[in-house]
Amino acid sequence: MQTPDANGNGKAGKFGDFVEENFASAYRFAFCLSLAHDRATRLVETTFHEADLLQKSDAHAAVDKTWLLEALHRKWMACHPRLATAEKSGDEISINEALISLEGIDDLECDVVLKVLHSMSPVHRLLLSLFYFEQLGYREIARIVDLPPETVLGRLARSKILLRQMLGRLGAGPRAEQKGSEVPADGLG
Amino acid sequence: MDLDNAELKALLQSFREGTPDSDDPIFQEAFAKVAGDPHLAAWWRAEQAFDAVVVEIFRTVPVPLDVKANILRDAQTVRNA
Repeated sequence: MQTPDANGNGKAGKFGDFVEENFASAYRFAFCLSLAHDRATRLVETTFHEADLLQKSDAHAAVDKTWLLEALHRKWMACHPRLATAEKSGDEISINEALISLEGIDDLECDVVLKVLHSMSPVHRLLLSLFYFEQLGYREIARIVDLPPETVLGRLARSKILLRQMLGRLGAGPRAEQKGSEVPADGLG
Repeated sequence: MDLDNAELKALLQSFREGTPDSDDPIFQEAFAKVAGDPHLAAWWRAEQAFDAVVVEIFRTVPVPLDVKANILRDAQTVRNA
C-alpha cells in the first residue's frame, strides 16, 4: 500500500480505492445536507471510518456508493430526529406560482444556486442533492431515503419546480415568467 | 400508462440519464409520447438543459482534499498498528 500524499492521492488498497472514487461525491452530499463544511467533514470522516471497519470485518460487505450515501443520510438524520418526521410526511409544498423561464440558465451562478438550495427544507434539499449532486435515478434515491419509488417520483418533481421558482424569485439567472394563470394548481403543468 | 401532460412532465422530471431509469418501461413509454409531441419535446429539451446547468454548478462545490488525505492516513495508521 502506498501512503497518500498531501492531497490525499495514492492508493491504500481496497479502502483507498473506495475513498478515491467516492470522496468528492460523499463530501458534496454531506455538505448539501449539513450546510457547513465542518459538519460535512465530520459526517464524511465518521462514515468512511465505518466503511473501513465494515470492509475489514466482512470482505464481502456491500460497501458501495449507495451504502455510503445511505450511511451519510442515516447519520445526518440521527442528529436531526425532527427532520425524519418531516421527511416521511413529505413536507408538501404549495405550487401555485409562475414557473421561471429557462432562458438565461447559463447565467446561473454557483453561489446563488447553493443559497437557494440551502434555504429549502431538508426534504427538498435531500432529494435535489441526490438527483443533481449524485445524479442518481429515482429508484436509487428511494432506496437511500427509504421511501417508496412512486413517492420519490412525485416529490422530486415538486422539489425541482420549487428550486426553479425560488431561483426566479431571487431574480438570479432565469427571468421570472409572469404566466401564473397558465400553471395548474399542482404546479406540474 | 395513461398520463396527461402534467403527469407526464412530473414523471420525466425525475428521469436521470445514465441510470437504470433508461431501461424502465415507465420512462420508455413517456419518451415515446414526448417524441410524438413537438411541444412536449421542446419542454423536455429545456428541462434537460436546466438540469445540465445545475449539475455543472454543483460540481463546482469545493471539496477539501486534506479531509480525504486524513481519512486515508487514519485508515493506513490503523492498518499499520
